[in-house]
Amino acid sequence: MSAAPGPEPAQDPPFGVNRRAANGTTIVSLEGDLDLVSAHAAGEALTDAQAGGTTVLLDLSALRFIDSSGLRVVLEAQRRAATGGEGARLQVAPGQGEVRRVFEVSGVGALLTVVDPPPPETSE
Amino acid sequence: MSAELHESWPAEPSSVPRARAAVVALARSAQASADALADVRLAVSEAVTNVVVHAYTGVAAGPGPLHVRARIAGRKLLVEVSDEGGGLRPRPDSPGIGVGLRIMSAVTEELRLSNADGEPSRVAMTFDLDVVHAVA
Repeated sequence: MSAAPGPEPAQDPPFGVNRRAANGTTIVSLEGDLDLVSAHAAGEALTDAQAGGTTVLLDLSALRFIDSSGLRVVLEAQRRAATGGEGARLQVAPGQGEVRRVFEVSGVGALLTVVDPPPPETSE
Repeated sequence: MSAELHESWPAEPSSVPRARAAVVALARSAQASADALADVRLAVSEAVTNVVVHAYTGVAAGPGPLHVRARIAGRKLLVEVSDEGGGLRPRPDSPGIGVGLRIMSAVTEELRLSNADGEPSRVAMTFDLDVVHAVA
């Protein structure tokens, strides 16, 4: 028996990926929760973005939550970037708050090129 | 008045956000601080993910159950995540779960692990519901 309130919706907000190009950089923005459920989709999106050989900026400023399943995806992208030639660098913008803290307490942030989030997308 | 949670889910990926949300809801019902909610969300996610990924590998019958018990005691939240697996699994000091373990250690007030080979695993965590993180 449980006296606890009912669980929150399992996917709230839903995980999402947005990709755009800006000044020779491919920006991959994630939102929602990056965990065991969404790790595969995030990994595919990053692999795809990195296939172009350009610098990829992984923007996590709109991500609500990340755990070690998500960190693993980021570290795998970092490994691909390290072996992908001169143009394939990976930059990570962890934003503020909970997500940034996970990078700090895990020690993973120290292994990455951490940058500020990109400016918002401007209309064409 | 006491509040507690005693739930079981199948040890599959979709149970990770469900278990996480259920324990966070319990913590929220006890007016946990925003920082405590963040810690609970993260540590429960790590413990539950570990069960989903490792507890029933090599078990022919497929995923078994994932058990979560949580209760409020004063201004503490006690959470226990366990399974009924018995297969080989990474030890806490193995590289495979090093990051998750480091995270759980960092965001809990107390952390106890038992997962000897051949035995069901159990992770017991204690959180301070009023914790406020130091500004980095």
